[in-house]
Formats: sequence, C-alpha cells, structure tokens
Amino acid sequence: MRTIPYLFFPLLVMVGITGCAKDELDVAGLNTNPFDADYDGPAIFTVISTSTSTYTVDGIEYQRLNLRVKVHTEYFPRATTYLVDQDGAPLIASSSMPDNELSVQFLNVDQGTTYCRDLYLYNGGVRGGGNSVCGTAE
Amino acid sequence: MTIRPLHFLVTLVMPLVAAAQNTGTLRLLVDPGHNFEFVLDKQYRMQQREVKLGEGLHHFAFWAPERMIVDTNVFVIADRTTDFVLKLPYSPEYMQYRQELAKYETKRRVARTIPTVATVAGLFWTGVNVVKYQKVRQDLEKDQENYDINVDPGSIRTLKDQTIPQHNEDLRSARTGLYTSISFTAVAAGVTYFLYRRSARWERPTLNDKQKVLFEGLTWVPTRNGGFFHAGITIPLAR
Repeated sequence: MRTIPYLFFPLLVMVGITGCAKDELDVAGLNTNPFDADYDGPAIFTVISTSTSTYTVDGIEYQRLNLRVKVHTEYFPRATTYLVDQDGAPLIASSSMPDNELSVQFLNVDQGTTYCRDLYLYNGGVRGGGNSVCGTAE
Repeated sequence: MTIRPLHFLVTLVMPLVAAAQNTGTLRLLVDPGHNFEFVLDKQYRMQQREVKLGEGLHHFAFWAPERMIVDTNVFVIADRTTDFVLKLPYSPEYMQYRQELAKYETKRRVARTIPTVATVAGLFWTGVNVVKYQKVRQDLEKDQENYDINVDPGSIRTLKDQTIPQHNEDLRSARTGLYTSISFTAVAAGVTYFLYRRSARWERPTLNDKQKVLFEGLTWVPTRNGGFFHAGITIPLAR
C-alpha cells in the first residue's frame, strides 16, 4: 500500500507542468515594438507644429505646408540609430535629427486643406512601424 | 515403557557380539557428502562417514534430502578399511519440484521485471520529454525577449513569420510527447504495482519428499549415551 503514493507522482508532475505551462507565443499579440511593421501602440510620429509659407517657381507663387514632427524614441526598445521612411520621399537618417525632430513638407498646397503623409521607421532595408502625420494649410 | 527392556537387551548384547567377531571399517564416500543418512541392517539409523562393522554382509539404506533411497548390501572384510562409493540419484519429486520452482520463479521474475523495466523506461522517457519541453519553452521565452529588444524590422518579420511559429509547433509536439510519456509511466507503474501484489500471492511450489517419509520409518538411533527410536512424520504445513 505504500506504493500507492508513488503512483500519483507522474500525475502530480503532469498537473504541475500543465499548471505552470506557458502557452504558445501569440504572434498576433506581438505588436508592441515600434520597429515591427505590425506595431499598434502609441504614435511614433507626432506633429509638434504646423506652418504655411510661400515659394516661387518661374514667377508663380505657391503655398508650402511645413510640419515639424517629433520621433518618439522613448518607445524604442533601446537606443539605436534609425531611418525615417516618408513613403516615397527620401529617407532621413537619425544622425541628421539630433533632437529627434524632422520636417515634413507639402508643396503646392491649398489653404484650408488637410494633408497627410505616412511615416515609417526604417532599418536594414525593411519598414517597421509607423503612422500618419497630418496638417492643414492656412 | 515397553522400549526399556529392548534397549537394555541391545545395549548388553551388541558389545558381546562385536567382541566375538572380527571387525572391518567401511568408509562411506556418498554423494552428497555432507548430509546423507543411512539405516544399517534395517535397524540403526546413522549419520556418519565411517562405520566399524563385523565381518560379513550388511544391509544399507542410504538417503539424503532431495535424493532417492538406495538399498544395497555391502560385504565388510575383517581388519580392513574399505571405501564404499555411491552417488545418490535425485528423487523424481525433487526433479519435479525443481522444474516447478524454476517455472514459478521465471513467471514471477517476468511478471515483476518487465513492468518494472517499463516503468523505469517510462520515467526516463518522461525525464527526456520534460527536458525537451523546458528547452522549447526557453526558446519561446528567448523569442519574446528578442522581439522586445529587436530594432531590425527584417529580423522581427522573420521572428514572427518563421521562428516563433516553428517554436510554437515544437512546444505542442513536446507537450504531446510529455503527456504521452507521463501516461505511459503511470500505466506502467500501476501494472507494476498490481503485478507485485498479485505475484506475492502466487503459491510457491513445495517439495513433497516422499523418499524422506519412506526413510523416516521407525528406526533405532544409537548414540554414545545409549540410543532412541526415531519416528518421523511429515506434515505439509504449507497448505
């Protein structure tokens, strides 16, 4: 009869492992890293100021919308260099943004119209997370 | 009370008879050499390796545990030491007992050894699977840590599209293997316990030594202080 407790040992191990078992990693739930293209957290890029100016080309005057955008590096998992992809516009390196701010320009804008651009973090030839920044021409 | 006159008569007459005739020595070289007994001239039960007897033909009935009774006549020559060599054959009951005992022990050994080995193997298998399961869990924890500190969108994509799904699959496989091995071990342990209990109740064969019963008839056993009659009876207490 003393053997009976030993029979429960494997069962206890099973229950213990099951109880402590960590489930599989949910890939869909992994979206907290700003360098992940599926990032779904606080905005990485936010507009800190908007201004409208004029410029002339061939004697014709146009309106230009300037957005000053802040890159929230505090959301980064660690300090790192990075690039900003302006969705078709030239990439901007973090080395050219000592204060982690960049300018986004919209040319030939109309007053009262809102303009948006998608910005992404970019490293190693691949886009990471990003969001749109918008401003209204005045 | 009826024994005393006979005892007195034998004690009185034997030395006179012995003195009246020449004696010879008989050395008994009997296999087995350590525990055989014999009845001399159908009267005296003895357990010694050498006897001095009067010249002439004497009857011996040799016996040893597990052996057959061998009846034989030996001629003792006066003033000479003669070697008498005899190998007592094993009794048929003992041979049958040995066969049954061997069968019983083999059966019990098999009934206990196989499930025990299966249980031990199951425990080993479970241990291997626990290690494997823990390793895969550690891999997934490393994947999570890697995701949390990674700043390379390309490697994050690889991590999410290939590495983590593969490790998730490994974890499911390891968990299935672990549960299988634990179940196997539990069943094997149960069977082991059951068979140990059951085999403990199996009746062990006993030797019914009929030759001993035959041999232990009523005999006179001489000693230095006289002698006594020996009556043997065998009661199989095992049943």
